[in-house]
Amino acid sequence: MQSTQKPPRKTSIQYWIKKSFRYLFHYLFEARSTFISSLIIIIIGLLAGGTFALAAGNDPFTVLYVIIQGGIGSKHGLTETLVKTVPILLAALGVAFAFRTKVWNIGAEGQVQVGIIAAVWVGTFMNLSILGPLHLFFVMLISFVAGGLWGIIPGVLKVKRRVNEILITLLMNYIAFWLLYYVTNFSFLRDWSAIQPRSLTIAASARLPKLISGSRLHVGILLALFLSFLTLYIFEKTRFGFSIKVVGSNPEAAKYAGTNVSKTIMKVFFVSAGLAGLAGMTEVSGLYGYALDPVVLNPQIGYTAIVVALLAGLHPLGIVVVSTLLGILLTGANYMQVVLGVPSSMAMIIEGVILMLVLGREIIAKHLPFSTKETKIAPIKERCE
Amino acid sequence: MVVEIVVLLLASTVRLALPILIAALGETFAERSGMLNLGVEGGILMGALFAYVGSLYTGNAFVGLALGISAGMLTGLLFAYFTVTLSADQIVTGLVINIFALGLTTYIGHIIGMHQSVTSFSEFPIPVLSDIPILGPILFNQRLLAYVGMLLVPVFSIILFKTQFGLTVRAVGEDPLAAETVGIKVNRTRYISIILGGLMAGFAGAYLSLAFLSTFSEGMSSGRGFIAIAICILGNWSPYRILGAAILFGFIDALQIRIQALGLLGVWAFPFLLMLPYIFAAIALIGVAKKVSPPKALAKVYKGAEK
Repeated sequence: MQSTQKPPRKTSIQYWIKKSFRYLFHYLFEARSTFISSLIIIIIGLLAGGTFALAAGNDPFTVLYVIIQGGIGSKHGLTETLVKTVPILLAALGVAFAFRTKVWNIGAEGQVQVGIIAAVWVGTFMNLSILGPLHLFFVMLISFVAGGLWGIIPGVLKVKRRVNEILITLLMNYIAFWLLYYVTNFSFLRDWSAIQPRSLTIAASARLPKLISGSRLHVGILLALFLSFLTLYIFEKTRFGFSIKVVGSNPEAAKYAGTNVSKTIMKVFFVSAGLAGLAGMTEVSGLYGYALDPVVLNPQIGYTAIVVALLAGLHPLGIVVVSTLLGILLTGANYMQVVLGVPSSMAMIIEGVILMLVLGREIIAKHLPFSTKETKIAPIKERCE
Repeated sequence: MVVEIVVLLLASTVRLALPILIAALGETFAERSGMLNLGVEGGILMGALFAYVGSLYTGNAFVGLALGISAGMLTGLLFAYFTVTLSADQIVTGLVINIFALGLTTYIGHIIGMHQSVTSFSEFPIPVLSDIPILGPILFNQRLLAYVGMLLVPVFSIILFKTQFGLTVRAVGEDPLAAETVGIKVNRTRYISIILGGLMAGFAGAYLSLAFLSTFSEGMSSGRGFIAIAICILGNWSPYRILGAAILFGFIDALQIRIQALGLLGVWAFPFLLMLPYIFAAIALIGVAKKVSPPKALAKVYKGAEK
């Protein structure tokens, strides 16, 4: 996106607020094809996914209505939506870091789980509660680092031994899954007095405070929003962001431009995985206060985050919007299951359909009335400036 | 006594290696033509579900098998459409298909009810051969599908290395532009190899729900599609080596199940044992990383020769 005037030198908060409004305006009104095609895609996706509801005796329009009602139709719905948005947003930011560098970190799922383990471990360290709010800070730090370390393993392997990171990160997801299972079922961190297998509850000093009383919404949403803007800043205004751009478009040229490709890749893996770890931490610290047995409850945050990042074109603000939309979808789908009896797994079908439509978006966009040569949309991966 | 355990172990090895072997054989074809199809996992899942559905509603396992294979082929077709015709990114497309397949199969599973017992393929001992002292129970007392799977290894090897079609596929995978200039239809070849891969993935899935187990459960492929892709790499994209890699993997899997069953370690070890196959696959991949030679055009987008 070309800015039409030279940006002011100072990077004050005003500037950033203006900048974000500018982006919002751009995506809403200027990049008309993108917005309209996105809208069409979302609606088609919802309806197409909704047709599967016919098998459960409901028509797609009712389903659509119920989902939206469940997601934003009540205070409970809204807060639940935002609760679901938080970890997805954070993890998706991480995915964006990786995918922009063309580093295929599919391990968000496992990295989230490692973050959960770390959060529980540090959160139950009773001696630390003396530190008060510092305890929470340590929980965040260690979760980030733990996730980051889990992610740097495939990073090192990719850089030093040319191992395909896609497979390694995928395999490590399964390893992390069973690790979390061990922690919540057999380890010293398990809360044996609870009926379902789960970890001990973390100390109060390690909890993220609630944002809205009477709901499950916690300040993690503020953290997530802050990090979204920070991510945007990193992508656009820092050296690191520049390295990401360069390595992502052409690693060979990057070397000649003086960028240390290996170091960038490893840093990206660390940050990407760290954000996922942070996402896991918000689930423990903000939402539940403990870690659940992943066999019992697995919200698949990591995979959903990949969906979000792809749908949002790897742009941090787009990720904010899309993860909120997904929060609505997920909350609405649960509500739909209760009210209509349609299995909530339909949400995944809708995700898949929307993704496929986005993949074919270029074809769709060519047929829109507004599209000209200039508004032809670049494929997802190239649209990250 | 020890011999008995070893024989049982090896028999399980074959049983466990087969779905991965089958999926890997198909995926090898796709990859040899330059297409990295991460959607194998989704294909296996779809095959498993639709085989389950077919058997559930007709009481006939063969119908289930046919349905499962078709589902796998359709999944492959979907992948081919996006990556070959629309030139979408292969990694992203594969992941998308997996997500869609997981959602669809879970949903349909919820609607018709999972965990039901269906008519499946029971053990089919080959009359004379299964009485051979040690090899008998291991190799010749498996399910029907398993024998087909085993036979596919030499079949695929011959197709890939000794037929015109195999040569075409390999040419497309090494240098699609050069292949196009000698008149090979790159896109059509890729479509065929991808659909073949999907067929095998569906077959592997049907094996899972109709031979390995007798039912369907959510996400029952458990990463086997990804392991299959890893096996392709470990086997350097040739069927016999893939057989070896699959057997190795099946052995680790059988071993961890046996250790659990024998209670050799405490119950706490169960999650770690379950991790073993994945850890093993990862270590194997690391070890082999510098020594394998993938098809040169693997995972690269090819938009056709400049006109």
